[in-house]
Amino acid sequence: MEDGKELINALRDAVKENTAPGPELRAALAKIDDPAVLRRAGKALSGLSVDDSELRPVRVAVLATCTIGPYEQFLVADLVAAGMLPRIEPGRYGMFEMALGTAEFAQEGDPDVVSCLIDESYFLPDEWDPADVTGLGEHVSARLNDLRGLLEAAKSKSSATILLHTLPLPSAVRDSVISWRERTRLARIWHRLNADLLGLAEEDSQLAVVDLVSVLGDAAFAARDDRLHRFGDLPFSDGALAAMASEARRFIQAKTGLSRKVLALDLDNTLWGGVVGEVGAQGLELGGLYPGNCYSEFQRVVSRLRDQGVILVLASKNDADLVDKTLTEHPEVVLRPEAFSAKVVNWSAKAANLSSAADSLGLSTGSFVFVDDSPFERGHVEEELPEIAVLSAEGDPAHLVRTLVRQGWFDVLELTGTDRSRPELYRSRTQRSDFSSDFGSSEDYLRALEIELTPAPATEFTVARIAQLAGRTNQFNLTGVRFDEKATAEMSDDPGHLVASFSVRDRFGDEGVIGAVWVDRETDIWRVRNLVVSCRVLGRGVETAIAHWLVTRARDAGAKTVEGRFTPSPKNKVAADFWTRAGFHPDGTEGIFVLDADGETSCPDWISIREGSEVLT
Amino acid sequence: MTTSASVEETVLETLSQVLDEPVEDLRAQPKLAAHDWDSLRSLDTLSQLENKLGLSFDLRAFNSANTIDDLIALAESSS
Repeated sequence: MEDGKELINALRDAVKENTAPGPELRAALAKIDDPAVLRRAGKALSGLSVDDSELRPVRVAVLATCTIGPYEQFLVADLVAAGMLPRIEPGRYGMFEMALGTAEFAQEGDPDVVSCLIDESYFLPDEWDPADVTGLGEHVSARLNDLRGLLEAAKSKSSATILLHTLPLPSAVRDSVISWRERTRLARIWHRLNADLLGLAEEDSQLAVVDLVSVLGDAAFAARDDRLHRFGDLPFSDGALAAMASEARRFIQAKTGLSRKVLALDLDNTLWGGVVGEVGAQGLELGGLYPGNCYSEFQRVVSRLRDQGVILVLASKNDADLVDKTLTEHPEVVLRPEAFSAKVVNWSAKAANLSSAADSLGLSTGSFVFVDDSPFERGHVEEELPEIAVLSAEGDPAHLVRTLVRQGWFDVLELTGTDRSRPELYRSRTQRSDFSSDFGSSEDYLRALEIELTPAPATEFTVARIAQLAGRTNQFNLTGVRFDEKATAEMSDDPGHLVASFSVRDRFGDEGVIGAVWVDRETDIWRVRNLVVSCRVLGRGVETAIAHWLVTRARDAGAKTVEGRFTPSPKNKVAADFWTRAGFHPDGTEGIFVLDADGETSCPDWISIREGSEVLT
Repeated sequence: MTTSASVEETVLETLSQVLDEPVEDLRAQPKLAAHDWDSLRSLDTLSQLENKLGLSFDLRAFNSANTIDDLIALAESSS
């Protein structure tokens, strides 16, 4: 897994069969950071040729003042991952100026983009006088003018966009000047060179510049390898070349219109810390100190994206009224309800919700980026809608902003007035749409999850957790009766009662104790005093499996009837039809539901119930 | 600590990826020149081995390795 073997083999197979790697494979490729794996992926994909593919063909010429090393492989891997079918045409070694001046970039006509790799040797002479740094500055300016001339010549003969980059001043050059004053002067000369390079792109839309200096300044790898430089005229390390390729991919993606337009966001533990249905608006982590400040900053950056035309969709499993109230009234919320062009806040599967949001926006799901902290939700969306770019909000919220922006999903070459007003246009379009329809979960996906439910009688080790669930669960809390630790312990010791906990695990891992039930056990009738299930696992059929287990247990104990209750609260709407869905029927008394213990209940076929080593279904 | 056996394994595995040949074929013909061994592939191998084994080669010693066994011995002595 770690060395990407499976991925590389799958890419090889695609190439062998002359088929384009599908969206799942491309999504997996886009997640690779390891230059060694990317390099092999690029190599595996180099022979990719498909007709009539969903991939966008793009031709990129590479010109360099040095050896390009694995830059070609990195470009191929990155461009395929972004949905392109690249043809890379590396220029000949030592021919940088000639190729640029004559605009002979490729065998057959103009490429779309010419990516230039330039190292310091282009601007610095071999010999220079450290006592005359000003003189060195004049040389650097003269070389920049030479480059300008070459670029003018290239543009007059070719319509290709030329992609340059800023370049770091190598420490070996900087540190060889021992005078602080002269070294400062040298640094200023170099910064001016980079500023002038960036200025080229501001003046001319046929030129673009990657600020490689900033990219490398933020990176955790060495940008240079002196051995490769001296041995192979390869000044940049694999990490630096991979970073440059990734920036080139961002540019080409924006140029070919393959950037994403829509950002769909989960709410709990993504836009704020905590579950609003559990802790209430006042208990959320948002604003103030860490970790609340991470979520505020995330909201501010999302808002900044929106100001630049990114359409926001809210996709949350929650009570819609509570969400609206919190988004409107919470003093620290940056993204108020009107910031979202569409909101899908309900208890249905997110994949179906995202499709429905895409329909009402009139955009394809392929233009979506989706951010969620739950591996379950992310896995589901990846499985059902692999064309959506899925980002994880799991883990330390301090990383949220970086996760969102680092890949440049939303890059455009230039902002237009329409871009800025786009979110508002789309919001009006969807305001009429109704997202309340109830989508079923995808059963195939649930089956693949291999969900296991483990019921267990309360023990001295689980009583505290059970009582905590009783205290904190608001949404799937059938009667609102909150048995505390003492009451739970007493009931669990009394044969007239049953207290059980429920744990769930699936292929994503162990969720731990996620539910509990308190039952009065009489000879003929079992009465459920309360049942709580954490909202983390709702939508997977776990609650139905719990009902099935309960009825089976009652029947085995000789009871004739199982009685359930539901007491409505402002927060437990999600559980209102639980008993009827489980096969119970109202017995005439308000809030009471009964089922003959011999009656039919069923456990969803994607859940297995395990007690000890015994598998019940 | 990386053991000798796993250094050997890592070298073979890496060469197998870089040269796109099964490990058995490499064992059968340990001479690097008999495979598709050029400067680009040798540098790819160098950077991968350095990352995986957490070491830094002297490029002179690395370039003078003629066989796979030379590479394994070099990696073992450098780690």
